[in-house]
Amino acid sequence: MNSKIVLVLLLMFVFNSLGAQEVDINLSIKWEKKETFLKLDEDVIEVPYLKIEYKNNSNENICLKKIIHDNYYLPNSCGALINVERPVDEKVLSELDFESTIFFYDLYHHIAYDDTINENSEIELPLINVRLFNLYKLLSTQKHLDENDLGVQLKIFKYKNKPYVSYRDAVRLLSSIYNEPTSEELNYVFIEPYGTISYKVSLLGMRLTNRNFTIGIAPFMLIDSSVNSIRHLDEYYVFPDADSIYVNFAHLKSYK
Amino acid sequence: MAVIIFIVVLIIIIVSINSYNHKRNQELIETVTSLDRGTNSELNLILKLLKSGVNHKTIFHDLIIKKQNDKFSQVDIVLATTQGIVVIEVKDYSGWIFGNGHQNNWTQGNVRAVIEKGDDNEVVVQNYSDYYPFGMQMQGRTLSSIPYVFGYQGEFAEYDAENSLSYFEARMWDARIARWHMMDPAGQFASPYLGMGNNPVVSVDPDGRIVPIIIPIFIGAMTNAVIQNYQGNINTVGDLFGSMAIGAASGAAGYGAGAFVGGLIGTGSSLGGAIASGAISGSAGGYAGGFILGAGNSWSNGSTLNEGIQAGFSTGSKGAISGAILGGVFGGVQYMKNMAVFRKGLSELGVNASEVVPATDEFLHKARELWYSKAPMESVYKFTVENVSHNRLSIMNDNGAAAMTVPLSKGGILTGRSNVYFHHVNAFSSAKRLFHTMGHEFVHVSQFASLAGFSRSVLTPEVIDVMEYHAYNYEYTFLGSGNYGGFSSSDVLHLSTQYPDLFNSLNYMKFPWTYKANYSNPF
Repeated sequence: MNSKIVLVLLLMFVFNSLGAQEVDINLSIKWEKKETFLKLDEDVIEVPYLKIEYKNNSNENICLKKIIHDNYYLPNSCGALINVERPVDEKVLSELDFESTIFFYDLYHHIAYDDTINENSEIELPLINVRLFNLYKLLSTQKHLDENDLGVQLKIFKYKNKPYVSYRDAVRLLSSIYNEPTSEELNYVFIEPYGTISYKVSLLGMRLTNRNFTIGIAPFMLIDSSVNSIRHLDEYYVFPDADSIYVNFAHLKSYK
Repeated sequence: MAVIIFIVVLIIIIVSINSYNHKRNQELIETVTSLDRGTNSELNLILKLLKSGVNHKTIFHDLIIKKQNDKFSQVDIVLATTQGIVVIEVKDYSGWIFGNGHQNNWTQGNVRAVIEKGDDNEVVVQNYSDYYPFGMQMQGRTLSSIPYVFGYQGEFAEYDAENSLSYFEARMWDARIARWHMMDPAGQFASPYLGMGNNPVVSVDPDGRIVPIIIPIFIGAMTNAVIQNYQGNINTVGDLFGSMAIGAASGAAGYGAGAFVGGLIGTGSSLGGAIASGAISGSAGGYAGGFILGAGNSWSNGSTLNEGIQAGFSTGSKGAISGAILGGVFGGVQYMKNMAVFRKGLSELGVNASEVVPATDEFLHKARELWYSKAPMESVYKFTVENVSHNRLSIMNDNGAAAMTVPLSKGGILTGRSNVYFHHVNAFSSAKRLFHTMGHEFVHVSQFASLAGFSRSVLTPEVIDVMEYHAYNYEYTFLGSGNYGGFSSSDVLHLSTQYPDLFNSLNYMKFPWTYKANYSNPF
């Protein structure tokens, strides 16, 4: 594993051993069987979900930066710009020979690393980021099409009674009706004393790459250093110290 | 007959009145100075002062003053008032006099750059600026150690740095959104907030009221005359005037349509929106102008009516595309320049435009030097077709891609440098494909360079769309690739309003290497 990941793991262990944590963030993987809606050979597809559980162990109102914003699909940073008549459509389901079988996924930067990478030098991202970017772009677009009852599907899906639409036309349809929520709830989680909040996010894109992932986030990424507290629903919520946050890692095993 | 007598009498009356007024004015001026002294401008100013009620005894004209070094200096007009003496220097210039305490002499007219002599007699630039088409100063290409309020807008208005507005006689102009801040008192266009008819390349708006249409007509006339002469179609004076008339009609139509559509689109609620509306109005202007230009030239060169119409549609389409940049003029010039560079490169490379070219790094780099000599290679780390990993080839194979640009990052932050990988088959299927592919990738290289310092997470799907739109737009408009990436005008409006800042900063027009012809404000 690269040195940065080891360092983060070590720091988390040290912080965790210092005493009781104000906030526990538990990352875990939950699998759900669903009828196959992608153009795959399987009739039933097992979809992994990342469950993110925030547990406030203190008697204070606590807020943190939200780890995921979509509540359904992970965002991903683009690894490269490919000169092609867009979009990629079904090509994203083809098998690729990625650099590694195991990746570390940074939930804050939305980037997958492997142990070939030294983040202290100037690097290209592993190509798996290109694949994840394109997969999630299509998956989240279809999700928004379904949520808005637009009755169309992208070409990587095989819903019954839904005509196909190109990715660009789908984006065009959604741009006229889909408004990104902009409230503070999109950016923060607010946890009452001794309260628990959980979200889940689909890891289908990761599973479709057939690679294993260790998923995590460094605690200090969850703190907003520019403010001490945020007023929400007529109450103030404070940011805890980074060293009072404990985050465990989740492990997704999808490699055949 | 009665009508003729009436006209003659009328002329005699008008001439008599003018003659009387002229004589009376001369008598008035002679109360101050002799009519044979000074210039007409000085005498006219004296007349204005007298007519405005200034006592003739307080006005002194054409004075010679002895200086401390025993030399003499001439002063045009001195006005003695109860508040003190007013010294007036009269100049027959259209413009302004500019200077400060550090300069030995005043500068007259509109200043493009201010220089000073340094301690070692070297030239020190104190003030200069480059501008976007609607007058906003370019960041990184502006130096203003000496405040100067008459820049792009020339003598017409003063620029106020505090609110970034230019104060014209009738209205305030905001170059950032390319719109006036108040409605047009003359009501010239469909939108009362349009400036320069939404076409700053061929129009001026001297005071915020009426935009004269004569300039686009003139430019159209002269441009077409030059092109037709270059193509050998002008053999007689009649041919010359014919080509000028066609060009003039093209200029007028392009101007009118562009302004009309620009007015319909509205004012643009953001910089991105303004850019988008400008592009769309430009394409409309470009189409209208292009149609008349193509059809007119075709007919004048002996084509049938049908052939002329077809040529009109063809040129109109090209005009619409190039017009999406700057009203159908700038894009066309760039396209022609790029094609000339491409053809010259083909000749030196010894290949034809449509034939397969060698997929080697040697050929790639040679072609790059010939076609894109000003490309941002300082931001490129790898530029290769021979050293492309199996994985990258797989990704490109999957998508039938010709190339890919991969940004480099350090610690999750974009460094501004990129690697450019070419597909050995797809990119090299013809010289023209390689030419287009290279241009497209270089736009991405410049875009990643401009994003240096940003977190990698800035590269969301919609920001990638913005980057792709500009790269395809460059490829389509300036290189004539025929590949627009499937973007529609509604996509452009959506992206430009959702991401106004990035839409602006990632535009290929921000990268000087993309345009080979230099544009300078001729007005």
